[in-house]
Amino acid sequence: MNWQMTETETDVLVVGGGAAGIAAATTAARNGARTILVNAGPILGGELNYGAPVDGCLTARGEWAVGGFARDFFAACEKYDGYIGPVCDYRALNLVCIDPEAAKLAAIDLVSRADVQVLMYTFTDQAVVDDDGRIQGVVVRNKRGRTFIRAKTVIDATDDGDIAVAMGCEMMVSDAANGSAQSESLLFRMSGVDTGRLLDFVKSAPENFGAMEYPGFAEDAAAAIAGLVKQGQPKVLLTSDGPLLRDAVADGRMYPTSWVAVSPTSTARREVSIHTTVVPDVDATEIAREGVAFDSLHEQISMCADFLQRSLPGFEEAGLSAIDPFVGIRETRQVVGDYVLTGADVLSGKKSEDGVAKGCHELDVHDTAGHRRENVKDGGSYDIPFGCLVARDARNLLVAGRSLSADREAHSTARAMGSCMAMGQAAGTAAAMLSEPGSVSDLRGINLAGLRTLLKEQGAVLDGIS
Amino acid sequence: MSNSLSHRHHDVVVIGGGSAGIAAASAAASNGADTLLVDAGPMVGGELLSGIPIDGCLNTRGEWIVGGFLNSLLDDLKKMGGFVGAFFDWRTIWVVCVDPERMKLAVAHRLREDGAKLLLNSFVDEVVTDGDRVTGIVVLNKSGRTLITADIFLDCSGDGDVAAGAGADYQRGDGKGVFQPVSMVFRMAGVDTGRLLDFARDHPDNLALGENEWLNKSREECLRELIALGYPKVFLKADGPLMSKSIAEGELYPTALLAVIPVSADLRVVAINSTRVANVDATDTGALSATMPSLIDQVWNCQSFVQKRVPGFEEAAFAGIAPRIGIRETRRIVGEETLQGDDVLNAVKRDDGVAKGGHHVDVHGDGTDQLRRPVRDGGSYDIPLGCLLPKGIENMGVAGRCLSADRVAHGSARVMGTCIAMGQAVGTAAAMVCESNVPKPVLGDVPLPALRDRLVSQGAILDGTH
Repeated sequence: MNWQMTETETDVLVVGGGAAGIAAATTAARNGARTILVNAGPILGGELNYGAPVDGCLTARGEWAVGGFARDFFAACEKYDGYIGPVCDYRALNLVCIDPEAAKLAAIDLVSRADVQVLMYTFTDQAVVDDDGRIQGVVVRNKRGRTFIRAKTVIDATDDGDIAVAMGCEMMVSDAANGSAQSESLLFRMSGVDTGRLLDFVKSAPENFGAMEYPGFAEDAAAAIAGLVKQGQPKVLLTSDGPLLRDAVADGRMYPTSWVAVSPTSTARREVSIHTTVVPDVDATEIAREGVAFDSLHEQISMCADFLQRSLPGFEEAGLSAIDPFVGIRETRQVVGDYVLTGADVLSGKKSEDGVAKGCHELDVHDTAGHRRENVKDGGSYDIPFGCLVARDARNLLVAGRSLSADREAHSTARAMGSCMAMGQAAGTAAAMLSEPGSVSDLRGINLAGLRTLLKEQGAVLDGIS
Repeated sequence: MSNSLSHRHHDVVVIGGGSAGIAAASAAASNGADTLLVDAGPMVGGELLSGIPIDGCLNTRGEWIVGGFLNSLLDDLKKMGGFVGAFFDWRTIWVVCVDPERMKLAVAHRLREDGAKLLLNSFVDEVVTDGDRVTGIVVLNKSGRTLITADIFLDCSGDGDVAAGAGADYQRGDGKGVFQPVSMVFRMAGVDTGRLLDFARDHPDNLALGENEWLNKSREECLRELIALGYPKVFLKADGPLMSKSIAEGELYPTALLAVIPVSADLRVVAINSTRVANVDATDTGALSATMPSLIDQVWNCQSFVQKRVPGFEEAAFAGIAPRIGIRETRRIVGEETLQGDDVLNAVKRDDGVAKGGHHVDVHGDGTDQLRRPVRDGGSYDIPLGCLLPKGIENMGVAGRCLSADRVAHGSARVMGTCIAMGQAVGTAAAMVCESNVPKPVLGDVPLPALRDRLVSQGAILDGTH
């Protein structure tokens, strides 16, 4: 093809435009670094655009565990009439509900206003590494040709550790990425839902709905259901413990699944997202890598929408309003960092002097052994130390988002979008510090106390909550 | 991003999963070829998922000029409840309005039924040639690099990337940096069709109506027909009092049109085609990415404008943007033959036609500028196979926006209905030359009468219309 390779230079290169990537790029640029954001897809925001509530923002106790960029993002959603706000599931979590369509505008708005140079539709090809193990930059490919983007610091927000892999960094590969069967998320939206009717039904037939696993929400299950109804939002979890879903699965009106989560996405459109799990007839590796999705899942979407319309009060007049572009992927591979966050750290709500972000989502492992869920101790939060974002085998590569350095259990909570935004902000701020004149050039030399101070000045939540 | 190169072989490889590519892949696969469809994004369907109608399926007289694959796709869509209708806009064209969300399912279903294989999230990095043949393409994705060899390659990339990469000549825009604008289509939910049509009736000077002499109807007659139709399908024109005042006062950005298009069967959701940034070379990824902030500003500006100024939208809510930026014009590959603007305007028929076009010549310019010229007598023109064969490459076809045409002809043939017809033609031709099992098949060797017979027997419309 004989495309000539061009070269460009920047302080910070962020690869991946999901929750972590937009946070990292916006923050790096706001802190004065020349920043380029590269994304393979046509829009920004990743799973923030999918319609699932944003988890990992508030602890079960109801304290905000993320601030800074995440709060700016929610303010931008509000500007585009798309912020519903914190909603409690009266089961285990506090979630932030947004309109995913507003989120698409908000992501572009924040990134472009921070003067980040964005390259969409751009694939990464090679990492260029020198003899000292420093990443010099990344070769990217798009319709324009091939470009070597030289950067002082690279932030891998690809969610799959693509840059770390390209550099030859050690990785932890999950069972799912090795091809074992794993249930995958399916998300779509329905509009025209009558929330009043839905909640009346929840009140009259509470046995169909999941509630009450975290003891702080209510005195008992009945009180939790009452709280859910009083909240007035279409945020309910239909479970196969109850007759409605169980019978539908038994008589073939619904595919086998243990739950169907309903969450509000737009008050104006009376729209909700529907989140359920299915076992597709392709393995997770192929879905992750090649996006095999719709051709095997469209029947399930139609089936689930029909089931809800016919069987769940409040959905009689509702119609399918949107389908996500992609099957949600929970895990592929993690980078081995200077510190590996563990399930014990998470469950004990461990705090760290090196903490640069916080997580608070429940431990939530889906694997061949089943689905394991457990709350963080006392409904609180844990700290994500800086070492989880620093690839052990590299000197100037930061990782933010789903591919952070964590074991499987810790990963299952830190992968939440709220935590991804917090990690992105931390990585972007650290990268900006490294790009200042006279700065150290190795992440290990960074002034951690200075980084934490700067993060807090810019709204990040690092201390002061359970 | 690994150094090793995996390899796979198919009879036919189609690059680009838009309207031309899905038709090509389905036609090749259903005619027996082992067919792979490669797309850089996470979904197939291209602009069919944007919310704009499928233009070019019927001529101005209301005769269907595209069949075959289009019929199969629309049948699937009808079953899914996503077919809104085919109707005349009482301006100059027939439009086929579809629900873009259900279209996602229909496209995936159709490809699966016809047996086309999919490779998504995969970017064509290199084209391997041997003399006048393309022997392979190298694609880049999260799995690394794969060499894909094939007997026939079909470039349906919209931009002619693969043909250009193989050395084909091409023209772009007007050759002096002028390109039709890129647009971001968006949707509004909760529109009151009755109020909108009352407004149209009472203020018809805001509407584009009766722009085709062949119609031989007064504006008043066209208005009556449009209102009798009862659909929220109106074309607000920039030189009408409402838009011209708002544009002059800076309330609305300068644009030629604000086309309202029904996209849900209950007629409560509409798409709006209005935003635009002109003279961007969309193959320059940095420049294309940089249009995004302006496009979303225009989206928000436009949705506020219609809410405030256009009756029927008072209660309507923003309901989302298209999955990607819509692109009208990039490269036109130089083929064995070049479709001429005069052929289009004069509705020229050909013995060697393999597809039909009937959309008016529709060349959008900067700001409020737009060239619109109808096809003679409300008829159609034929596209010969030579317009789909890049000169000098014997085993490649092109279909879609990147066909061989002059700029005026391209202004008509670029629309989706015509792209589907071209796609079916090259896909069928590709399968036919592979059937003979001769080594190194040449696409242009397909016997034309046999190809035309096959196309017609599979529902394509090549004759018998104006």
